[in-house]
Amino acid sequence: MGHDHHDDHHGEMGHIQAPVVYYGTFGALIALTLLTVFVASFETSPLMHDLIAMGIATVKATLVIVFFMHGKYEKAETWGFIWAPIILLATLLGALFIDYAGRQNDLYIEKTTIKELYINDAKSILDGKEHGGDHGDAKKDDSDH
Amino acid sequence: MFNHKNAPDGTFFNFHKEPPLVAYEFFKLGMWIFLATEVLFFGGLFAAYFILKYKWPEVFAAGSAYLDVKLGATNTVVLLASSLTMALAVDAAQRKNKGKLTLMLGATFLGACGFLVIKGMEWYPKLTSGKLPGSDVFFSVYYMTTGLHLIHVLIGMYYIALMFFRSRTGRYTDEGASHAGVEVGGLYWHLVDVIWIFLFPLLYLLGGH
Repeated sequence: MGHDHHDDHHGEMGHIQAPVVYYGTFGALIALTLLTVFVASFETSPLMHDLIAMGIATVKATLVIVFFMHGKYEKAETWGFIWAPIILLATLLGALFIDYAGRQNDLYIEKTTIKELYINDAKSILDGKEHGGDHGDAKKDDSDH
Repeated sequence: MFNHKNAPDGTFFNFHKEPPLVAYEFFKLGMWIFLATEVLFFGGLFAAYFILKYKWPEVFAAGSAYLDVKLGATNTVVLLASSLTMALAVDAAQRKNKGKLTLMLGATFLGACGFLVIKGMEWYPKLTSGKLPGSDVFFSVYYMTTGLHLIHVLIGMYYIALMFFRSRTGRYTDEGASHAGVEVGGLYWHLVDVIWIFLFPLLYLLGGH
């Protein structure tokens, strides 16, 4: 644009891309949408399913940001505001996935009903009585160790 | 140096007192910062989605299987197409092509209308057959995420309609005029698209197998 008739008073506003870039980006986005639907039909673990879906969506979002939103022409300070929420969100969701993948005791917690907890509690009280000392002494004994 | 009667800076509110090129950069950076808050806003919803899904996987699989993948995929294509026309509108504004700018903004608005109609076709049978926001945890998440996305679509449609009528006055394309408003409106509309890109597979494609 500007090199011909707009350099005079206010410089250039944005870079002009060849229209083929927009059509190419659109084609890639449609292809990736079809790929998303296709790969979702495969049997995988729920975690892998989510990682693949999020992975393809991230590629699509990158295409939109770089070509449709002219991200490729943006300055470093703009990219700071693009990366900041992505890094924060990746930290949040990443911690969520690591927590999900690494959590060990959910099974125990779900199988341990309130009733079982009550029985365990009752047992320990009975044990305390069996050993002869009264309840108060047993507690005192615990706290000393 | 700059004398368009209606548009001192081509931005949304005409608040900017800087020279047009400076106003253009400020206005755009302002929108990028706003979009960063939008990403984190929806990010909270995505975090809730994952926590609730891993807590109740069967409810999510059953709820997702109830959704119409064809309508969801069609709506994805419609929204991607409206993003393309929005990008072409910005391109037309950069090239000072008033006719094409108006045409592309009109096409973008029609795409948004198409998205609304398909969304209505999806929601109506669900709402009338008892799949309400409170029916189960999947539908709570479904209506919360797609509903908040829909509010963004409506705000985007308002801005696009505004730009459509403003573009016809030559506000963005006259000699010496700034097209900053179109570029920034485009940024917002593309973000609405980006959010849908993530929502579509997470909501529609869980029960596909």
